[in-house]
Amino acid sequence: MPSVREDLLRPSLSPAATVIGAPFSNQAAVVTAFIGGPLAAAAMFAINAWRIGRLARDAVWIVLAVAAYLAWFAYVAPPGAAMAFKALVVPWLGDAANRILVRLGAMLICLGGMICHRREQRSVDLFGAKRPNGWIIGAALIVAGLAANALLASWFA
Amino acid sequence: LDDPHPDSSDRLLQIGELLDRQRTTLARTLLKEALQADPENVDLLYEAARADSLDDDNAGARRTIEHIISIEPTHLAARWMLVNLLVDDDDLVEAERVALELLREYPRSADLYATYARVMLRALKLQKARDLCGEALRLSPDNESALRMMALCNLIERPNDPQNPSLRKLLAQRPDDQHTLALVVTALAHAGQTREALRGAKELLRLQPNSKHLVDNVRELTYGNHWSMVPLRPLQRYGWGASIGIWIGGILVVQMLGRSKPELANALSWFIFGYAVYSWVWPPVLRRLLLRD
Repeated sequence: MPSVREDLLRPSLSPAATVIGAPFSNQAAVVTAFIGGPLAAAAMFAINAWRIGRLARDAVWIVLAVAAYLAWFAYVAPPGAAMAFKALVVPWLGDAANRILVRLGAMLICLGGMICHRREQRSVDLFGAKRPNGWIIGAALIVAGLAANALLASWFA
Repeated sequence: LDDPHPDSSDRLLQIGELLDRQRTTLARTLLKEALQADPENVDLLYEAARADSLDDDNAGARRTIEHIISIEPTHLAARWMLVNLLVDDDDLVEAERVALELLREYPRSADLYATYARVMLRALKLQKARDLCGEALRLSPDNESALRMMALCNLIERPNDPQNPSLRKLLAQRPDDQHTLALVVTALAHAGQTREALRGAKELLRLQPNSKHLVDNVRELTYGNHWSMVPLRPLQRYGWGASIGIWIGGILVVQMLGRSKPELANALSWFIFGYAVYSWVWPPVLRRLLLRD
């Protein structure tokens, strides 16, 4: 007679712990990242990770993404800085190179979040679980992301 | 000649068979008569809860189940159904509590492990769900509920993998089973084989013509298979990941072409813009046109 695995009979959900909920939709995450920039994208990534109970596992990626963005900002934002880099990218991407690269970074962070949470997103879709409204939090993150960018720009100016 | 007064166990059997065939209206008529004669009969009450659940009246089913448990706290089938009803109501903490209580009483029930796996899948605890399915299949390698849950785990982790061993085993064991067919339809739809998924969904609807869920499923797949949606296949298949890819690729190519071939870059940027507008505007319009009936 096979023995029973006792570890499987330990509860995994506790009323005192953070209630696990469905993540915000990928659509809300993409729109937030596109308009709000990398910081808004990273915040949406973190909120979704917290909602599905894997913030500790994803924290390293979120911190790396924010650190990389801040480092890049510090490198290119001060007037007269990174002239060699600008001379390299402007001929390829035009005068809007800076804005394009910021948006590109935001979309890459968003894509990273989508890849990390793909199983959970698929599970929610398969079971038809109700998702929270992503537009209110998305709008708040867009405003916060744009404000943080403006603050950073004035700081480095 | 038919016995005009079948005893309660015959009546119960008859109601159970009617519910197995989803004939809830007739089953309810018989249940009403039987419950008038014996209102506290837990087996009849359990069938009444099943009828409510089949008719998507979860609140009614839960009230009846809780009544059964107040009469007979150890009623296995009622507590089992309570787990599923709690999952449907998103009360996952309570669902886990009842499932674990049942598993401690029946630690070798593969079906109970599969039910607990369903709770864990809904709670997005995918690894634990997989471990529970593994345990259920270790206890009973051909258990259908466990194979179904394991097939769902595989589908969540590798939606494009045609080699879903649990689903293949289910198909070999019960090729005509409606639950198996529903899983196959879901697997095909997630793998992007929407035409084949639509064929399966239509077959399921033929077997259960009164199911609103299946009607909606066929409508959704019909909408996804419309000829005007063909250009949007990459977006349907890869979702927002494809949108991001198109945006990144498009912007980089347009900007790079801008200096050397501005006309081509201009045409390409208009094409991408048109495609984006089409992907945003047309699907909801088509959905409204096709799904309004």
